[in-house]
Amino acid sequence: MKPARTLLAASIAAGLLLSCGGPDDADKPKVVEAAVSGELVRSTWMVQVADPAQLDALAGNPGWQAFHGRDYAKALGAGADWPGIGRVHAELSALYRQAALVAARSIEQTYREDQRREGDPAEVDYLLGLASLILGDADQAMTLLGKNGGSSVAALAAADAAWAARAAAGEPVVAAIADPALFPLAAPAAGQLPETAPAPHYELPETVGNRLIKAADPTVLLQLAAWHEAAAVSAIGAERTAALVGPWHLPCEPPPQVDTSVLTLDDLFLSAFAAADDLGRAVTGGGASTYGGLIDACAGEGQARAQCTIDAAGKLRKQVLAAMESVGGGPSPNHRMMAAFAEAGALRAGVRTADGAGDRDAAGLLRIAAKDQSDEAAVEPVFLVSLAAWDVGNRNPLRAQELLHAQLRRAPGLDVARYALDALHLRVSRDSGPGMPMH
Amino acid sequence: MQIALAGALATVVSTGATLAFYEESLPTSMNPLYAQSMVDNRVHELVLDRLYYHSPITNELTSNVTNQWELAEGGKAVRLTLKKGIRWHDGKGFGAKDVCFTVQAMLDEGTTSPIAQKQRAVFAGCEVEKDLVALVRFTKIFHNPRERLGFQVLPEHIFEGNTAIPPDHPFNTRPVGSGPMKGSMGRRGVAFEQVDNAHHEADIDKMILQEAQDPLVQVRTLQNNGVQGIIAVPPPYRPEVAASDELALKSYDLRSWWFVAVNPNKAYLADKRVRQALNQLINRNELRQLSIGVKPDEQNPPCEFISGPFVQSSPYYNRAVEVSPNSDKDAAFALLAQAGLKQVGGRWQYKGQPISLRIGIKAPLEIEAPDLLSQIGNQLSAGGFDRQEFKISVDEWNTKVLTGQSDDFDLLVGKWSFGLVEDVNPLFHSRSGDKGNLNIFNYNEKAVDSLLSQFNTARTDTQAQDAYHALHELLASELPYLFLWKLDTKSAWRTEVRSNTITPYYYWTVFDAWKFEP
Repeated sequence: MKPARTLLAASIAAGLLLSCGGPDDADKPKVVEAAVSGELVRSTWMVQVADPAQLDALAGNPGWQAFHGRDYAKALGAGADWPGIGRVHAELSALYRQAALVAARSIEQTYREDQRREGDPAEVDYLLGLASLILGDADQAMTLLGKNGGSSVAALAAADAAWAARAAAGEPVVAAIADPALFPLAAPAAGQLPETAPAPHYELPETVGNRLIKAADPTVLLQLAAWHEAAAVSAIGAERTAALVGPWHLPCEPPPQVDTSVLTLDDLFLSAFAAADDLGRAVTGGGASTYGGLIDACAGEGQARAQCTIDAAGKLRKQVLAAMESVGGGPSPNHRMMAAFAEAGALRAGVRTADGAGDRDAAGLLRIAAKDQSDEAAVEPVFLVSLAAWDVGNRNPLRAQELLHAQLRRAPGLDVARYALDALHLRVSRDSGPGMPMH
Repeated sequence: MQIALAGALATVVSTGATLAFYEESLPTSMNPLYAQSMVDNRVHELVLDRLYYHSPITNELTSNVTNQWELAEGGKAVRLTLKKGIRWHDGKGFGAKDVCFTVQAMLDEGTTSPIAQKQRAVFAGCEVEKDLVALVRFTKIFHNPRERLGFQVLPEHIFEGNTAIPPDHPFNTRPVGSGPMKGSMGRRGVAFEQVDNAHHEADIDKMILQEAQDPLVQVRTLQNNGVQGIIAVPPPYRPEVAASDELALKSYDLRSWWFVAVNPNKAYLADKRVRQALNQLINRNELRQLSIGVKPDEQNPPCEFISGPFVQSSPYYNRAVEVSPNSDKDAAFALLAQAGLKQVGGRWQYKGQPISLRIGIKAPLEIEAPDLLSQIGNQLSAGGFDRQEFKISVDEWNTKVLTGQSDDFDLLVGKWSFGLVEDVNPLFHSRSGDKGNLNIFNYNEKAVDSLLSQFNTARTDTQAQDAYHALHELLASELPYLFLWKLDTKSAWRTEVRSNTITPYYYWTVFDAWKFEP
């Protein structure tokens, strides 16, 4: 572990995870087509940790082993000395934010005015109001919240009143809320996982027949997001936390102000952000970075932009792999796994750029490509749940359900999002034409 | 049903403009009204056009054949204006008469297709208002009515206006479509040829569909560029494909689950305690490990156990019904004894007669899950049952198994696939009229029929969900099927095949964009 800590300390002292002139061998990768400059490749965390001694130390650390499998509970149990504790909490905060987005978009797609159906309970106005808040439409939220004070579902009536008051006062949506009606959590503590109220939280009476709809309140996800953010701050400080959570902010949150110069190797190791500047670009939408160069070189729209980015990401993976092998003195199974993060990260960065440019087709194609790259070695639950949120925003619950379902075991309380997603699936599937089982 | 053989298949060309790929099996019908397998569905997507489809990229509801639409008749009809210049593969014009012909064919009782039968609850008729304007009428006002227009359009002129389309119509083997490719079925595969049209301009000139071989042969052929794609890569070979720089492993979103159907008409299987005992003798963890290669502690398995007729991620899945990942021989033996079976020399007997279970599997499934049949046989044998194992051809599966004429089998291993709609009524409803038409062993249970009826007549989403939750719970006890698992599907394509977006369920929907750069 000591070599890794030494390098880490050097990185922190340098204040920036940049190339510091690696060994000459890193300047002579295998003959691979360059997607970016050798200097940028050297600046990636993948190449930074490619030295066998350092890599072995990291790989041998139980905390990093658990984190590699995104076993968050096990990673948090690695002990207070493990430097990744804050990272885990930040990632969980991001994960719960994306789950809240899944829930909010599902609710909006299911219960917005033009999609209401016979039997929908009146109480869905509360869910829709909260969803509107999460989605950044406070005006819409104010027209919906506070209408269910007379509901027979007392807990929902109380939550409705509480959110109506918060919305009227302009209180932040993602925050530690002490109001007993809004599923408050215990005080944040690094290395812990909080207990949450199990879902479903309400049974809402349909207006036709005598059935009850089981519903879960997305407030739980917001509380969890805030809790883990606070736990991350207590472990690694506000600036590093803000940088890590920044790319995953909700539409209702103000644009994050981040300083990526505070980021360390521990913040990037085993992530799809190859270097601090890549994370910065994910927040600001622009700027120079390892991924930025190759993405910005891909002109055009739609399929052309997407295919160019896919090709460039593939070249980057090979380039990073060759550089790691050069530094490491030969191939290693870990190199392949880490290089996969580079490709996945480039694709995801392409998604953000396409989103920013309003190029829905390219963004969609790159999301699909990034998902295929993120299934095995480069699994990152936050991205996969964000893909589910995107699908749901397109009224597409099928893949979203698979994505969310596969991540439920990673973090308690994620299943809150499933209730809204299930409701959307039921609605969309019953709108479709008949289907037959096929062998 | 025998498919007319149209001649020997041309030799596969490994490079150049012909793209070759392995499919799970050959299609059984080129007529979408008589689709029975996912292979059929995928082929239809290349040869014919659906009126509307969802973009696999943005999920936007899109059409290749219509320009405009508007609600009509108070919302009970949709007026469609078709694009100009679209032609069928034989050169004839595509128009409103074809759309209306297709609707009328679905409504005609002489079209004995189960798919058409279901559509009769949706459509009331169709009127040709102009050459390119069709008014499609529904049985009632539907929310988002264009969602119901996802059917493939058939050419009126081929059927000469006769809307009663039987399952053995020549169209079923020699289709005339309007899709990006025209297809012709050969002895060992299907050859596709690109057709330029007003609404399609596929980049790939020719394709050849070949029937899947031994999985190792498939992967090696792909690696050697003897073919360029595999629609369903068997799980044990996925890591090898993923590790190759020349190949790409791609997700194919499909809801598929595997099962062992149990014949309740056999006296020794009529008692549900015997079926429950078989369920307890099956060790799913072991089956999964030996046939699919997934270890019990694997973190991101592509294969997840199920306890009922839905995948675990489905809103219809009853999460209160637990799966049985391992076997419990003691529990199984107790159930068998309660049901009156006796063990003699370690083998189970019913009324003094030894039981030998005839177990069949749809043959292509053995490629996806090698040795599954023999592993199931081994486990049941270890539990005291003699057995005989059989691989069943796709043809026999379609003509005998799915039509409820396989009573000589005790157990049948199969797989069902679904898209967005997870209607399992045809699988479990008792066979009667247009109901239960995929009920393999003619399972007949009134309580099940009642729940299926509740699902069909549900006024709200919750009513539908509750009906299927109750169904799941009941079937997990009754066990007309031993429910095994859901298995993710992945395709493999060489990297020379580019812009190859795979549409969930339908696969080839945006084939126009695919490129092959050998």
